[in-house]
Amino acid sequence: MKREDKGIESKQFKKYLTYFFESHLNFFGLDLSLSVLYCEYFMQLDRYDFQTSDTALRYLFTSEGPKGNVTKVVQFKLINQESNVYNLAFGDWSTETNIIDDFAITNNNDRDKVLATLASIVLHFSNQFPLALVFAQGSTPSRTRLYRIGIALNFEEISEVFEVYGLREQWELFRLGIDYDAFLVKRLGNSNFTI
Amino acid sequence: MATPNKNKTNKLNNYKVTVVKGELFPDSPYLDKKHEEAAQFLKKHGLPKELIRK
Repeated sequence: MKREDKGIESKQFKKYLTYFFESHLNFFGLDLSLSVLYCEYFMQLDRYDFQTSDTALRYLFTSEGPKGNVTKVVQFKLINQESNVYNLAFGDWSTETNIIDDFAITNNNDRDKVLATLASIVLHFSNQFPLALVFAQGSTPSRTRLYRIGIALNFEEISEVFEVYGLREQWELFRLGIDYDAFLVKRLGNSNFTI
Repeated sequence: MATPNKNKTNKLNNYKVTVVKGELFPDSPYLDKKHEEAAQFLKKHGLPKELIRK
């Protein structure tokens, strides 16, 4: 089998797994245990190297794929001083037009790698600001769903370091397989990793 | 406080980061707008009660 064919097969398998786990197993109490298996399958995800400003409030990395190189930027900004909440804003930066937005659909076939990179960026940020709460919401409901997928894909790792909350009608601790409108993460007090 | 576990491995740690002096990208009205919307959203919905600092 050609390498290209294997790549396509792998993508189709991932797509099938995503559909299978997200759509059909929310009964008989199976969704949690199978979602864990699903997360373990994806735990080997690699991620992009990234750059950060010396303030650790801005991050940049390059998505690479069939559509070429796309510069992705992340900016954290303090939006609630009293509770030390930082918003995570994420977008594509066109260096040609110098415009940053999050409405472009890149289709660079690297969604999971981009999401895994975002998770590591939040970890790096929280190393610099361990008491910060990080708020995240997509620019559209489908982008917010992408964040949920990103958290689910990396949940085993994320939950060792962060407490994750999701907003439905009220805030609650994040559970796999549930749609949320927004997310908040808090660094756990005992998660002292050697970076 | 717990002692750091040097043997602990977490795949989120598998990244390479370069620190760059100065800002990496220009200020963006788009990102500013997203931050403002997030602030309003949070004001409307509040925080999880466990996270409210007294």
